Formats: sequence, C-alpha cells, structure tokens
Amino acid sequence: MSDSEQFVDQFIDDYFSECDEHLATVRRVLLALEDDPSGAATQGGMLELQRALHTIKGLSGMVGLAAAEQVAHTMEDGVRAIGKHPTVVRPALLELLFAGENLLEQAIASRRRHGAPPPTDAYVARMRGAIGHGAGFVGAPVQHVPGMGLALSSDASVVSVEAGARQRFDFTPSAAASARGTGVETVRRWLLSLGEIVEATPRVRAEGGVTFEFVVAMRRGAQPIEEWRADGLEWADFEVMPREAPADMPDAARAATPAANLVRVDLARLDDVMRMVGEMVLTRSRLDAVIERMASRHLGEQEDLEEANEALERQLRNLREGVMRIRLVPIGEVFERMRFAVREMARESGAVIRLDFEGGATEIDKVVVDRMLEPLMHLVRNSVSHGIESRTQRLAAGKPAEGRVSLRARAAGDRIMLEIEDDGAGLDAARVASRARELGLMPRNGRLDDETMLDLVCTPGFSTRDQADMGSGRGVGMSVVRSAVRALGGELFLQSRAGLGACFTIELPLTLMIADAIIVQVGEQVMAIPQLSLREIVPMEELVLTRMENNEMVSYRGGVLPLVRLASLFGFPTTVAANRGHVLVVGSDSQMAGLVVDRLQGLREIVMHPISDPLVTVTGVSGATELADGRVSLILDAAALVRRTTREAHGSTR
Amino acid sequence: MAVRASGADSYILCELAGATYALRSDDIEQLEMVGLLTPVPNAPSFVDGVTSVRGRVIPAISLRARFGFERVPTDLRSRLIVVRHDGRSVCLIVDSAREFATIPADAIQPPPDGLAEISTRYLRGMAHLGERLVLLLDVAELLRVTSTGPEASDATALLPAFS
Repeated sequence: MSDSEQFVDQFIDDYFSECDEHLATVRRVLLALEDDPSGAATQGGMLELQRALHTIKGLSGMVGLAAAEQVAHTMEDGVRAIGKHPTVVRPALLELLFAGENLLEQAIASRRRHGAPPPTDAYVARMRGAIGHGAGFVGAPVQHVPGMGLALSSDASVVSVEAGARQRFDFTPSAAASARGTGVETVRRWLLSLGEIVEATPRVRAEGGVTFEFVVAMRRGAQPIEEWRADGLEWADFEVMPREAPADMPDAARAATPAANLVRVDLARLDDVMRMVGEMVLTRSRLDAVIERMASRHLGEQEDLEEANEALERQLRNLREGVMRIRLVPIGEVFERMRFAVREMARESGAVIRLDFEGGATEIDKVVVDRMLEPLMHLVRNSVSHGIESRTQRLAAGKPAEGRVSLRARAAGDRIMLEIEDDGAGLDAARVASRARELGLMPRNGRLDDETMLDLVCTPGFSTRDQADMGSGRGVGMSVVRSAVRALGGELFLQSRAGLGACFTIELPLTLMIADAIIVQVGEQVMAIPQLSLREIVPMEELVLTRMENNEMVSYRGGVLPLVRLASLFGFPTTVAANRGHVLVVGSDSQMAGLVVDRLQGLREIVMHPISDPLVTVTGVSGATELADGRVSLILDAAALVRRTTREAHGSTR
Repeated sequence: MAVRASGADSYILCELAGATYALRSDDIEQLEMVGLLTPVPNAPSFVDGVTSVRGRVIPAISLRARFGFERVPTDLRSRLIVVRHDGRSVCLIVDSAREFATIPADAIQPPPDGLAEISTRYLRGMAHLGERLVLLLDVAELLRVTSTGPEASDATALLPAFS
C-alpha cells in the first residue's frame, strides 16, 4: 500500500461522515429553496449550499473520488447561476441540483461499497446547457483564507492571545510524520489542548497532496508547542484571526449552521466514557456491599461513610445522565431525510403527497437514530407506494387528492414512540389473508386483527405485491424492519383501518446502557431482568397451577397466564420445588407470560452490555451485566420470552 | 505506523495439553488471568461461557474442548488470551502463556499430515524454535461458528430469506 493510499484509508471514515453532514445541509437548503421560489429569504442558505458543496468537492478530491468532485463542482456552478438571479430561482436549475445531490450520494455510496462510480458526464453537460455557458472543470483550486488580522501583545516575546481569538494552523501529513505516529487525529488532539477547533478544512495543494487548515478558538494564554513543527504543523507566530463577525448572515442561516461552540465527538469516544461511568457504577456497588457488611459490626463513623456513599451515588447518576444527554440527537434530521425521499418518490409516481412532522425536536440516542433510518425509510416508502391510493381512487372515495403521511415522535417516560401514519387505504386484509392461506400461515381462528396482520407481513418472504416496485422493493422487508426495532429493545405496532389509513408505531428505549433491574436466581445461576419490563412479582404459593399437555398456567387477574420455567428452558437444574419460587409477570395486556425463577435477590442498578457474538446468542437473553462480585450475569429479554411463550401456547402451524 | 521487519511476525506462545502453540501478536488484544465464567445456555460445547474483560462481556472458548482434549480445572498458570478477528473479540482459555517469539515467515512449514485431523483444521502451519516444535494457530478457524446451538436468535432466523 502506498503512503497516499494508506493516508486515504485512515481518512476515509471521516470523509464519509463529513460528506453525510454536508449532504444533509445540501438537501435542507434545496428543499428550502423549493418552498421559497422568490429566494429572498434564502440568501444565507445559498452561501451555506455553496460552502457545503465546496467542502464535498475538496474532500472528494482528496480521496481521489473524481466523480463526486466533478458533480459537486458542477453543482456549485449551478448554485452560482441561481445566485445571479436571486429574484427568480429557476425551477430547471433547481431540479438539476436535486438530481445532482442524488448523483453525489450515489458516487459516495459507490466508494463505500468499493464499486464503480456512476457516470457523471451527462449530468455535467445538462447543467452546462442549463447555465448557458461552459464553465471549465479544472480540478479543485487551491484556496486561501484571506485577510487575517494581527493582535500583538505589548510584550513581543510572548504572544498572548485574547481568549476566544482564532488562530490558524496548517497541517501537512507526511510519511515521516506518520511513521512517528503523527496523523490528523494526533494534530486534532494537540489543537484541542489549545482551545476549540472551529474549522477543519482539507485543501488540495496545486502540486498534489493535502493540507489541513484548522482554525482554533484559542483559550487565553494557550501556546502551541514548537516541537510540533517538526511533524508538519505550521502556524504564524502572530497570526490571529479576528473573531467571526456573522452579522451579515441572515438569522435562519446562522441558526442552521453548526455554531462555533459545537464540538464534534466520535461516538466511540462517548462509548468509552460511558463504559468508564459504567465501571464506576460497579465500583460503587462494591462499596455498598462493604458498607453493608460494616453495618453489622457497628464500627462507628458508619454514618459519615454512608452519607458520602449516597452523595457519590447521586453524583454518579448525574454524570451518567450528563453523558447520556451528550449522545442524544434530535430525530428531526432523520425526518428531513424522509422529506427528501418522499419528494423523489412523488416525482417518480406523479402522486401528490404532503409530509407532516411532529416532535422533530425529540431527542434520541445517536446509535438508535442511525439504526432507525433504514426502517423508517422503508415504512415511509411503504406508505407512499402501497398505502396512499391513486388520485382517482382518492377522489372517488371522497378523500382530498393530496395524500398525507405524518411522522410523529414523542417521549413517553424512558421510551420513545415514533409513528408513521398515512391516510391511504390501510392494509389490504383480503390480500393478506389469501397470501397467508397460500403459505399456510392463516391463524386457526381465522381472525385477522392488527396484531396478526403485522405478524404476517413481518414474516420473511411475505409480500402481497406480485412484483417488488422501485419504491419499496429495496431488499429490506417488513421482517427486517421489525428485527431492527427489536434488536434495539423496541417493538413495532400496527393500527390499520380499511379505507382510512394505517399507522405503524415504533416504540424504542431512550437509551441503551444503564437500567434498574431485579436480580433473580434461576437454578444456581444469577440473572437480571430490567425492572421496567416487569408488571408484577407474585410468589408461586399464591397461585393455582393448571397443567395442559406440556404447558403450565395459572389464573391471574381473571385471565390465564402461561408460565415459563426459566431453569428448564435454559437447562439449569432447579433448586426449589415446583410449587415454590416466584413468578415474574411480563408482557403487554394482550400478551403476558409468567417467568418462574427460584429466588429473588433484590433491586440493583445494572450496566447493560450487549452480547452480540454468534457463539453466545441465546433467545431470551438480551445482554449481560457485571454484578458487584465481578461475576457476569445474563440479562433476561422479557419481550422475546413472551413472544416465545405465546407462539408455543397458540400452537402456530410453523 | 511502524514498518514491520520484512517476513517475520511476533507471536505469543501458549501451552496446551503438553504442546506449544503460537498466536500472532497482531491478533491478540490482551492477556488476562482467568476470572469468573458465566455459563451460557445452548452455547456450543467448547464455549465455557462469558466473562468480563475490562468492561466488556465476551465469550470464552476452552481451547482444550475445541481441540477435543480433556478439560482441566483452571489454575494460577491458566490464561485468557483475548483475540480479535473480523470485528469480534473472543477469549481463548489456555493452560499457560508466558513467552514471546519472533518467527520468520520462511521458517513456517505446512502442518504435517501425521497429526490428528481435528487439530490440523485449526493450524496455519508449524515451525521449529530451536529444539521445540511450535504449532501456529488459525484464529479465523478457531472462532468459526459451526453450529449456533438448538436455537438461533430471532434475527438470524429471519435474515437469510432477504439476502
């Protein structure tokens, strides 16, 4: 591998994430331009658009992705052409810009897949035709940051930089520096020790190669270290940029631009911090255990220690919440992407669709947001291509010609609800039934309620369309949607009303990491179950046991509760008699189960670790946690156990 | 990034049932004492359970069981070797692991046919270190999941139909 390839390799993930960010800006501004054809309110947006495209161009040049570089460049020309006539945004140009964004996404995706980039010549030609002149493409030009002011202190030997003043640093990676372990990441860390990095822009140099320009908002008195120069970092001793004066920027644009006091953090680093907090939680629970032991021996000064321990617990809880808050991002970004997808689909099919958002400011864990993008996209596409009827059908049914898809997000306790609702025809029950019969999946009682219907359409291979169409047939079926939701500890629900529309609800945990859990004993093994998934705990003695074939059940609140003996399910020898132990009642009103455990050990705060290795994935276990004695305990997955039980109890034909 | 001397990798040597095996240092994340193991229901027979290694919970394979040798209780010399392959981290339990060695690529020979078939599957080759014969382990093969046990998870059961 050559040096430059190796360098690109290190940089490529940054490239993808930066491009994602800038493409989001491009999409947002394009949609705003479309909504406001006069363009009067979007001057700031145009600047933003140009800046985003320019950055994508520069970055793409660096990683040698000529297709993306060329498209971004062409789009820049297009944006400038629109800018020259700010009163009339030409629809043709705008349409071309939308097409360009699409092409850019494809080009970048091709790099991600290591595939061939899409052809771009036709696009460039079309844009040139639309602009009416043939602006030449000569590669990304070298850029200079103009006009940097000086701020000298009175003492010439020490440059004291005003707090918040900006200084520019140029870093040119070299093989030699890289061999010493100095790369962009190293430099980032150095600069972070001086202040806040407010800008980081890679520039392609005329002679080839790359220079990163950093602008750092310096902390008062912070000084760069001379030795850094040997590794390719350059800065001017007295070069200080004036504080940014964004007064000429419209408010809307400024609000949308990432503000200077935002810091981008790699999610992996947050995971590290979270893991460390988790370890502290664990250490504190050891402390708990020690204090408890001491209490029995009346050693005095006990109270002080307890007080300190309680304070520590409070502080840890705050710290934990603080770290979790950092991971939260508004779901609105994802909604915006849906708008873009719907626009594309509507344009292809000629349908008129209105997309409503509600609760875009609802904040969700970044990981959850990322993993929900595809499933949400699939549900929205389903609504548009299967749910919403054709214009004629709609008018005949007395509905407005314009179809409506609503995306809603809201927090409910420590769960997040995402709803995707349309005012289309609802799920075609007759069709689902006939397909179910074909596959031998029709329930015995022949009833097709929402829950059964959802189960059916989420069965792999169950598609009621004879042919997958462009919109929905993209390889992610409903079954994948549901397993993606469940993989995050969530659940998918459906409400369908024939002729009136369908509503899918995704219920997700707000965060994934720490929970209060009941510690139980199953056979000799200690296991944990999140307290939130428990409805009630009932001692076995208080229940009347009935046996039907191989199933055990008890009457519970006027109904029947199927029991799962966890010890026998997991193959552990049980330590109590069949009529002893405790029943953990779990599940929803419609599907409940009673998990039988040998003993209860109490309530603890646990740090949840996923168990994802294929060697140890078990149905009914969602992860693991470390208890105070250092031993790992498995965490019970109540939802999976309920599904398993109800499936067996109903004697499904599968 | 340091440039590696051409054609020689560094290895960690471990003992198992009287033989010496070698794992490439590049495949190894860390070495640990054997801590508490939690058995996992329905896992393959050579998996002793899961354990916590510096804040992560990962599976532990008994190399003895993997190779068809008799399991022995772990003692103070037993070690957990945490290996990383293909995005997965897994512990290997060995009788002991105390030495490092550099083995030149041209000193590595293919595994001999004379060895029992069960072991050659997991071998990349063998080498002589002085008088000693060292067997080089193939981490990918050690971690391969041959059967997922009686119950596959919901997600994996659903996926194949959509590939």
